[in-house]
Amino acid sequence: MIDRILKALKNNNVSIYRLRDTVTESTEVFFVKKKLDTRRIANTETVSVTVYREFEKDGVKFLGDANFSVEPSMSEEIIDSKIKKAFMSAGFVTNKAYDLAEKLVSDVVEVESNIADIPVDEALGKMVEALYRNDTDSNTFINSAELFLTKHKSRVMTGNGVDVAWIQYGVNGEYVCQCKTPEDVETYASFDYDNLECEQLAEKVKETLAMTRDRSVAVANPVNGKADIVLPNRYAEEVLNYYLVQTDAFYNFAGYFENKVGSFVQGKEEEISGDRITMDLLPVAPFNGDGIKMIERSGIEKGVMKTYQGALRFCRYLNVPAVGAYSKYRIASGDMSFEDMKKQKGLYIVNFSDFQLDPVVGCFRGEIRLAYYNDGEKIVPVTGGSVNGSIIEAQKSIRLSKERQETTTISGPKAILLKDVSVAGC
Amino acid sequence: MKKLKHSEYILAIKPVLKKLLDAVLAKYPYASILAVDSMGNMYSSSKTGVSIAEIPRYANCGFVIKAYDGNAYGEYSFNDVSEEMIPEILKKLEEAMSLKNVAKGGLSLCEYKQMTDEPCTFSDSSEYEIAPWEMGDDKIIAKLTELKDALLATDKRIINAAARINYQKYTKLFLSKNKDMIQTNMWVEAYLTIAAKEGETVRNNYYPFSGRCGFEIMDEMQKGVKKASEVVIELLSAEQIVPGTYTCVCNPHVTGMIVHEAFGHGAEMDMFVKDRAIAQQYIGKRVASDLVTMHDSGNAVSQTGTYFFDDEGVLATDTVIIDKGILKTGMSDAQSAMYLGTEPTGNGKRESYKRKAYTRMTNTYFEAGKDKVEDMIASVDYGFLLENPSSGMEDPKNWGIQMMVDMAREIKDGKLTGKVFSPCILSGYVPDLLESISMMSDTVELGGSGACGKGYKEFVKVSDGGPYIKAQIRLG
Repeated sequence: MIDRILKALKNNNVSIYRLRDTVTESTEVFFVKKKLDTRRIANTETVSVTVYREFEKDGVKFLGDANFSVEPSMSEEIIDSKIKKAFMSAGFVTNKAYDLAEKLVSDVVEVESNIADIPVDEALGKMVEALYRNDTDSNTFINSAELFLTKHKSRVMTGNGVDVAWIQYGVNGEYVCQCKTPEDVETYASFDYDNLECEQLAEKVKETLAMTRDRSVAVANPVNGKADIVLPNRYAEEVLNYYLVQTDAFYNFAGYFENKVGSFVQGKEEEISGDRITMDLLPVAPFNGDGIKMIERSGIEKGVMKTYQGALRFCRYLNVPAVGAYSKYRIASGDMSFEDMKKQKGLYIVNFSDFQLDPVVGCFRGEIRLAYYNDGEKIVPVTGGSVNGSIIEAQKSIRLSKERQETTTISGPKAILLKDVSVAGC
Repeated sequence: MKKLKHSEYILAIKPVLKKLLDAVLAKYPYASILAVDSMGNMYSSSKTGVSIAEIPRYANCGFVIKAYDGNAYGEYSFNDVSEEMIPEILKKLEEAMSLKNVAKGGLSLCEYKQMTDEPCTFSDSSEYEIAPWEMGDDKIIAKLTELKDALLATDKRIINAAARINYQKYTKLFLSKNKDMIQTNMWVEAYLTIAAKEGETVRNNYYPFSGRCGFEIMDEMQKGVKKASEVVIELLSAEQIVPGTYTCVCNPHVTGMIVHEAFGHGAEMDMFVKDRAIAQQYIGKRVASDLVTMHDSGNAVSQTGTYFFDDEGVLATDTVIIDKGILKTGMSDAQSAMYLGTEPTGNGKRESYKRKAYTRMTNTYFEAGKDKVEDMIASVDYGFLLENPSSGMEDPKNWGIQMMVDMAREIKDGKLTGKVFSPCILSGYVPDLLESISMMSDTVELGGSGACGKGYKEFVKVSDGGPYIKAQIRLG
């Protein structure tokens, strides 16, 4: 398919372009209780073609672009007409001229994964076994589950001479645990691994089942007003994402932030009484979609920004190195243990219905499905109510746990402690 | 108004798909093929640049075969087909069907009956006034740039503004032994987004537009400029709300999110199959004030969730979910309906041909009441007018509410004080909120911007709405 597109681009005298070819093989199983409900395979190939056009208007140089996708069954005539239309559209895209990624050629890089070592159905079977290994209680069990095993072959080519390719495997999915009595409740959980992490998945399910049992006996959340909260795992990650956005070239170019390399990006330095953020940027693939080689970099060191990351165009506009957009990072641990965090008076919140941080406004919000309330004397599971806080305030005294979490998107503290967060009880 | 034309590609490839279907039916007692050819583009003009780009989620072309092996169903999704490829496609389908072997060690296979396959031949398409491909990209970008400049000029505290419009035009062909159905639809969504900064405080606001229409919707966008700017400037001085339960008047966008998140997801009957929806136990019982009548309708209103038939070849219906406060039924896809022994309601939807079908909402809304909005506000001693919902999450099992709202306008002694609070989170128990509804305005408004997920994935187009409602709501 690539050759047909290259030929059509040449025929249309389009010399500045970017092709992203993605071949996806997905094998999927869907369970209801302990029964396999549906099974699926999805095999697709799509090439996303971006056509660039240089032009000048009122003495200003522009580099416009427009894109379209090509599917294997498209005819030469359709591809040709899509190129013509995109080239014309690119002429209306008045983005100031910038340099695209430099030439880079590489052999196909196969990202190491044990998923590649065995047949798909066997790999899927191992994960299914791990998923259900701890589902042994008739009162608390897996209600439903979905499991996806994927292989992605990616190739990026540009008119500048970029030609890189890589292969990645993954296994991801979600499951819902249910506890029937005394209260009929459920907990949603998801997972995403680069390898067949059977032991991790089995352990995660075990924890979710225990969490669901606790929700079943939880009482109405009595906390109203300000409280200290401990957020573990993905909720800690959601808050820490704020610092990745602080380094994002787009937000700094657009004026949302005015961060510079060397500036303190954790509020006002003199107000920090808690842990200072140190964040390294980690690659999730050998190359990005522009064909830039992705490597580990220092993003923030003790609250001081070291590197801008983000979309190529905005890095160019800021006149900083275009290192690519990062979605994974490593945050250094603090010196407080997870156990000590949980001993603090306040709420240790293990499950929200949804929890979101708005990185521009700095607010984080969520409705509590299950928390453990420590009133200083006893710890009880509670449910209901919500938190509504501001990272701009909370970062002054944020504490990071010693213990770590490792996922496909973060290597960081297992939990964070935030002080004086607004909580609405039931 | 003009009618959309069906995809030429789909029409051309149909004979091959019929041969493929015959080959599948030679091996399996039931099979269907859904073919999709969809184009979806985004146009935007902002302070940081201009963009004309395809939206991957909305622009794709491919096929999915669903087959029944006498026990259960399996699927194969692909995007390359020709007569020569039929044996290869059959082999991949067999591979998918053989995945039943992973059900071992205490796991078993769901047993389903064979799908009923009532004969149906259908062809229709939606109407529009101005198609994006007729308007031309230059005119679209010029209009958006004019709107963006107007937004930026409203106040010196505005740091960024954008005008954006997206559309999807899709043709879907559904083939089974007895069905031959084709439809083409187009929906459009547009946004004015704006950000303001004062000192260290940054606030965002957006103003949405949507419809089952063409780019004639751009004429409405100018009306949103003043309001979008006023709101973001007001938000700069917003305070944090004191948590509590308040008398609230919700505008139709907030009502829509309550309808969709708090109740709609819980009435999706694939959740009944899994025993994940408490609503199943409340059929025939009161779940809301008698002022409340709620619909999910793929065909009774014209919005982004409207279509002629769903992704399982079931014609769209108008389902009354709640009638005067009493829960009547849920909505369902064909497979869930078969499992539950109910009639399918035309709610089987896929994110794309690459994904599985689930029960999904179409256009979900409360019917209008009889009150005037000004009377509703005047009736509040102390409370809030809620506007600008930003997101929400369903809890069908326990009917918990989680909704984010970006604007709560204070009402004191029946009048808006001008004081605003943001952000706010709505929480509580769904029936408590619905049973507390005491007034409803006399007009209904639906909106279909954004996308609806099933949990955290499977995003599809829907719309929701209703009238202004007055209710007791927990805010934090």
